[in-house]
Amino acid sequence: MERTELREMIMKHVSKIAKIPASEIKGGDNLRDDLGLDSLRSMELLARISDELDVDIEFEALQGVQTVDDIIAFAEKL
Amino acid sequence: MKVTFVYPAFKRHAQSHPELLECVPCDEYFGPPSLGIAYLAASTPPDWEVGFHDDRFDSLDAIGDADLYAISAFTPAAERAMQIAKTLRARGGKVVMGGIFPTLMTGEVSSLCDAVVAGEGEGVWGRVLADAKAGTLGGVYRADGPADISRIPPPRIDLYLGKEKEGYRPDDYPLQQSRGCPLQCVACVVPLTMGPTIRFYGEESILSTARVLGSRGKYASFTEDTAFMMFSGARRRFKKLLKAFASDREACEISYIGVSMPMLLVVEDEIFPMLRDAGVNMFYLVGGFDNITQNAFREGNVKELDEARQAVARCLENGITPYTSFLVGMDHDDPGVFRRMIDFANETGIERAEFAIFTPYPGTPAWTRLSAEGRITTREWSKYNDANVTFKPAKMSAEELLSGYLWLWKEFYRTRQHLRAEDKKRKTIQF
Ligand code: SF4
Repeated sequence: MERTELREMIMKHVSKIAKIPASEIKGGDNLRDDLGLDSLRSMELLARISDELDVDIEFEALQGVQTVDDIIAFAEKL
Repeated sequence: MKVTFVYPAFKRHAQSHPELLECVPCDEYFGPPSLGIAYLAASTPPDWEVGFHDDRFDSLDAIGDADLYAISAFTPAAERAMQIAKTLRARGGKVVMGGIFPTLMTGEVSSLCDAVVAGEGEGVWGRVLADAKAGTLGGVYRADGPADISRIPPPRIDLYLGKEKEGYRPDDYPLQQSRGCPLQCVACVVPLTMGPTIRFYGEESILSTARVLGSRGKYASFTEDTAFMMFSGARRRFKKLLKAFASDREACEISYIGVSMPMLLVVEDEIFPMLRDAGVNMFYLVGGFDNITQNAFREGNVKELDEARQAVARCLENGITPYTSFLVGMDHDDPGVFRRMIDFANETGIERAEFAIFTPYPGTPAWTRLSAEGRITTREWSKYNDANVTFKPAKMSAEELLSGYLWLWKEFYRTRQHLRAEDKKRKTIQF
């Protein structure tokens, strides 16, 4: 997946789970403090992204993921 | 050589408090044992004859001779398991014990049997049997690592089905997709006994077990709340299973799926049509392990209460009965918690529920903490069954907790007596 396409896909999922329009979400937004996602919702977010990329993720993947940019970096490595 | 697996008797809510049989308008359900024995029996080499003794229904005098007795016990059955071990050994039998309690409290049982299997049995079972044959059985057998359950044979569910008789014909049997869980809920034994990584049974093994159940007119229940888990591809695999169930509705039906409220809130919308196609119409909403149900019934906690309402509403909107499990006696629970739970159940339209007393199961973080605080009040393991107070509650007396729990059962079902008119399947609950 192209970088911009990947970013768009991630924004779509962040927007859906955080219930915030994608246009209002910034890369530096903190999942918990800015977007109000508790740990389960953050896990769900990673799961939906990995599902779309057709890979399985492990619990440990969540460690170190704090912002939207972290997710993009994480997804690029998948 | 013959090995006889033993499932010891234990008490549930109705046996601990027979008065519940009067006021709960449902049939009490004696379920089959969990799958541990059936899986280990399946891993037993063919040169061993396999027997199965269900202590809930059969006298120990009728157990018959065996070269080895393998007793599997979780905490409510631990005392009885220890009695059985003593009796069988006094008769000259060899006894190995395994399961949740011997795994987490090995020291409690090791002097009462010839050997203990700590953790999953599959990795050491061949060695246990070989040692038993050679007369060298002894000590604690612990596998080096988790078993590769994707390759193990389907569980010997026939052993359980063969025990059915008048008065004991369970409608549904447990089915598992996986073992283990990465979440560390404070009172849960799953990560402690099965490890923190989700491992999966082979899909064909699950489906063939389902077909056996279906051919006998049984339902399959996915009791654990890990079906929708987002790790290791658990949910993706479960969706595949749902499709398989949907494509052959005649083969076997699912009676219910265990799920926690937080999971129910985050799971994608697309799952509901899939559940419908597979004929799933009930969730067992596990309570007390997650942040929503731990906090929703605290005085003035608006956020979690609202989330709990949303979880129940999401079930009902999708045509799924939320069979809800309420847990009382956590440290923040005050005497007002009982009334708040009933108000919530009535307001949200819950029609089926069970009520349980918080129980610090030995070996769990809850047990460690309450032990350190000197708040464990009994080591009578038969009372560790969610129906008794085994510790000193923080914000009420033990008596208040017990009477509040009994009041919940009575008050909830007082206004649901119409369930008596339901057909047998719909009015049977585990209590
Ligand atoms: S309660 Fe459920 S989610 Fe929590 S650790 Fe146990 S199996 Fe995992």
